Amino acid sequence: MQIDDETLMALADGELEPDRAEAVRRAVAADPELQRRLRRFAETRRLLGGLRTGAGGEDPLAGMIRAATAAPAPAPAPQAAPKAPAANLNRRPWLALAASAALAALGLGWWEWSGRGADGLPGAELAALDELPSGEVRVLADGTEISMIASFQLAGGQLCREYETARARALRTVLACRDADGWQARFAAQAQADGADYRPASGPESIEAALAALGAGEPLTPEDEALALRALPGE
Amino acid sequence: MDAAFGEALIALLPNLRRFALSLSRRADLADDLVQITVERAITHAAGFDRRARLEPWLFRIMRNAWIDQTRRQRTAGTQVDIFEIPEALPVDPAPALEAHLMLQSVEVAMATLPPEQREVLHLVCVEEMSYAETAEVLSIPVGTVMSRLSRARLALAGKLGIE
Repeated sequence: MQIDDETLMALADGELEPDRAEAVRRAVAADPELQRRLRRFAETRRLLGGLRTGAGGEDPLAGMIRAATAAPAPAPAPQAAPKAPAANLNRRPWLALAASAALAALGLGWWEWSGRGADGLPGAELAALDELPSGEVRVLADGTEISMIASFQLAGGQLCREYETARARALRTVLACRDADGWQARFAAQAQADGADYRPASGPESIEAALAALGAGEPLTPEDEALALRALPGE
Repeated sequence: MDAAFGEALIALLPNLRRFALSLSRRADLADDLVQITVERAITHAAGFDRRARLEPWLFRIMRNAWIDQTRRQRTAGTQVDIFEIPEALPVDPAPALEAHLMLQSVEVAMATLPPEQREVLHLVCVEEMSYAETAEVLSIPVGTVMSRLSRARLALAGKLGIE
C-alpha cells in the first residue's frame, strides 16, 4: 500500500477521517518501513508539545485586560481625543526599533484637527496619500522621504493611511483620514534622529491609540488598498 | 466587551507569548507584539464570533500585526535584519534532566528552520491548532499547510537525529 508522508503526518496529528485512519493504521501495523516513517511525525509532534510550557504566575498584561474588559465599551466617537493608556503601555514597536537603530525620540505630541484643516498637510504628501502603495517610499521635491506604512478602513468606509516622513534628522509619523474635504491629519508624532542615546517618549501614546479611537480594523491587504485608492474621488 | 471575554483572553496570554516569540525570536519584539495583539483584540472584541474558538482569531491578529511590523521595518530603511540577530535562547545554568536538554535541542533545531516552516510547526504542534484553523490563521489553503508542515517535520526530525 502506497502511503505518502502527508497522510502519515495527518494520522499522527489525528487529522484523518476515522475510516481512513483505521485503514492507514492497519497498513502501518503490517509494514516496518511505514512505522519508521510514521515515527518521524509522531516524535516531532511529541517533542514540540513539550514547548507548550505552563505559565509561571499571572501575566503582566492580565490586570490591564481586566480593567479594559470590565468597563463598559466606550461609545464610538471618531472626533474624540483618544484616551492615553497607562504609562507602561506606552512603548510602541517602532520606538523600540528606533532604539536599535540608534534614534532618539525627542518628543511626541498630539495634534487635533477639528473640522477641515486647510493648512494641514503639504500638497506633495496629499498626492502620495492618493496613490503611493503601502510599503513604498517616495522622495519629494524638497528632499523629504515619505514611507507609506499602512491603510485602514473605518466602519463607515472612510479610508485612513499611516505614513512616516524623514527629512534631515526629523522623523514624523502621521495618520490621515479622507473625508469630503480631502485628507485630514488625525494624528502626528515627531521624533528626532540622533546618533547617541535613545530616550523613550513620554506623554500620550501614539498611532495605535489613535487607530483604536477611530475604530480602525486590521491594515488593508495590498489588493484591498489598491481598490480603495482607485475608488477615491479624483480632483 | 465583557469580563468573560477578558478572562478568556488572559487565559491565552501564555499561548500569545509563545507564538510572538516564535515569530519574532526576540523577547522585546515579542512583548510589543503581544501588547498590540491584546489591544487590538479588546478594540475589536465586538467583531469576534463568540461561537468560534478564540485562539485562531487571536493568532491571526498577531500574525497580521507582525507582518505589518516587518513591512514597517522594510520601509524604514537601514534596519537590523531580525533574523540575523543572534538568538537569545533560554539558557539553563544547571540542566539536570535529559528531557530538558532535549527540549533545548528542539528549540535550537526549530530556530534554524525558515520562518514559514516555524510558524506552521508552532501552530500545529505546539499550540495544537487543527490544519483548518492553521490555514485560516495563515490565510493559505489546507493543502499548503500540510505540505509545508510535512517538510518542516521531516527537516526537524533530521536535525534531531530521528531516523
